[in-house]
Amino acid sequence: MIGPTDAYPPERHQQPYGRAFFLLGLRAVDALHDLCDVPNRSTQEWTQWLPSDTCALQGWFNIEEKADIAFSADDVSKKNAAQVDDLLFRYRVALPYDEAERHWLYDAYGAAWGPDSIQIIRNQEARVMSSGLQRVLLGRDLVRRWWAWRRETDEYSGQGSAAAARETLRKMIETLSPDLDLPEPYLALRLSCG
Amino acid sequence: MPKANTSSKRLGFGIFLGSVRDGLGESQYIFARRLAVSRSLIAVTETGTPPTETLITRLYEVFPEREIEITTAAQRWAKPHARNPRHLPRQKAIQAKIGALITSKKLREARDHLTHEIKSATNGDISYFVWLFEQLGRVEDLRNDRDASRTALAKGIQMAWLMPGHDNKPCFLVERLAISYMQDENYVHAHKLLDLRIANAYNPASAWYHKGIIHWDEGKLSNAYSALTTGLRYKDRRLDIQVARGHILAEWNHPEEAIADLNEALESPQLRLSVAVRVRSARAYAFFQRQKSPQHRPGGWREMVDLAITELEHAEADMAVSPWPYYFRGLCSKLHHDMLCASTREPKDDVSRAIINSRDNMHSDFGLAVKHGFPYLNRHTIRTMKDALTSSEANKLKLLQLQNKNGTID
Repeated sequence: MIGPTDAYPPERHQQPYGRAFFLLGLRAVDALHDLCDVPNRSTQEWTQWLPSDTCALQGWFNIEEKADIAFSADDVSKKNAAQVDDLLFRYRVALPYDEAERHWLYDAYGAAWGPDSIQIIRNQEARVMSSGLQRVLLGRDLVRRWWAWRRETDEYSGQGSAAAARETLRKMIETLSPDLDLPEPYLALRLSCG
Repeated sequence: MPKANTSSKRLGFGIFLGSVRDGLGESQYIFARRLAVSRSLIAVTETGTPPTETLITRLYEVFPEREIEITTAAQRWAKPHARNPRHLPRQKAIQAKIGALITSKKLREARDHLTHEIKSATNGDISYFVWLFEQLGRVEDLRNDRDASRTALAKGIQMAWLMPGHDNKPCFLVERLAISYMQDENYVHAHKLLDLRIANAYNPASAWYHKGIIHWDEGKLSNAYSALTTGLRYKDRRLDIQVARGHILAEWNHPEEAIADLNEALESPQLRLSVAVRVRSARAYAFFQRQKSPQHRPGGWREMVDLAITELEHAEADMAVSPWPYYFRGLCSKLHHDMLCASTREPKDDVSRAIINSRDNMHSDFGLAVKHGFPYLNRHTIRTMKDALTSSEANKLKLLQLQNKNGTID
């Protein structure tokens, strides 16, 4: 019941891992929504970079950000932390980037954040160390890979990695924020896949 | 993953929006429903795209208590309309600037810009001047100077009639002017304007709708019903008319007709969340009234009461800052109170307690309705609450006298 001086509704959600992890689950709902909201292959939109591609990319960064905050909370038990860490690991390895790329992209997106962020990243290049080797990262290549991965096309066709990321996000939601509804596009996608 | 905290790098309206959402524990989809905007608008704004005027307006409406934060965030990060005005035609740049000033509630500055532009603009087309007067009317109204607002609107109407092939614009402004008269309880002028508009319009649905709203404000429910029913003959504004008529019928103790209208309104995909909350609350009150109908009395009255209570709880959970769940729950308590008072001349202790409880519930719910009332409650709803509270006070006095006489008071 809302009190007269309380402008916001009280917490109504179950938070078995605490507030900070609940917010991680909340961001997982948004990320899952955008991962499932992919244009139809037969439309013109399929070939284009769409605002929903940016939203999906931001969905991943939001998860990283909330995870960082949640793990630094004092009240997290080792067992719970290990369980969430395992989910995050499974999510990250399903993404179309290796660790060095993820780090670079995360920082580059933060610095470029705004309406032109993707264009700025496309124009960037960086030299990073990965698997003991010096290599050059091309922003435009990372952006293209995100586009292709989300649509499960090109080199990601038939790999099932986007589906694995989606399922891990679902598990994350069910673990951290059990009474939040799964997004409609996810339910529709699951229904269409039988 | 990265230890860098991006929130220190990312600064913008999207971050503010995300923090509001976190505070509520809502996903983008649920939050978008609360604001009655699309989910993609929330998602895109959170990626750093400047907020639209619609989004800022909706935030003001839904979170009036966070007005200062919203204004500050909007001023810092709102769409940079005038970032490069030399690339825009002059009129567009001025319109964008004035729009931004109004949105960020810098009303005095907006008024000064408008009056200066009206005096100095030399080669603008008529529609530009109509726009300037329309906005001046809006700004003066927001500054509570209704006389100045009406003067500006009247000038706008005079100019709008000169615009060839644009009958809608003067009609729209006439309706705005009528509402302005209504706000000052000058109902005669308001109706005269609308009658003139109805006589000259090809499609007067909107004017009939406004006539209904004005009659309702006056407390003339039968006239309001007639005007709205006439408006339904035309194609425009069907949803607005149906919502208003259903609401009026519920307050007018015609639950069956009210439920029919409100059910139809609820089926519309265009119904915004705030209106859906109002519709569900009004329907709950209509359900509550059904307990008095003979056809529902035998077994179903309890079911109707439970249905009404559940419906009001859902409406409140959907939008706690709407006055309507509280208003209609207060009316339910009043009905309950009146039924208890009418049921016996000399109530026993348990009935007396129930009467006092329903009165207290009514007090607290009407209090919340008033708290969240602006700008939704009209004069009729305020009068209804006042009358209900006065009559319950009189009943309470009678009850206390009776209890004193019988020696049953605690």
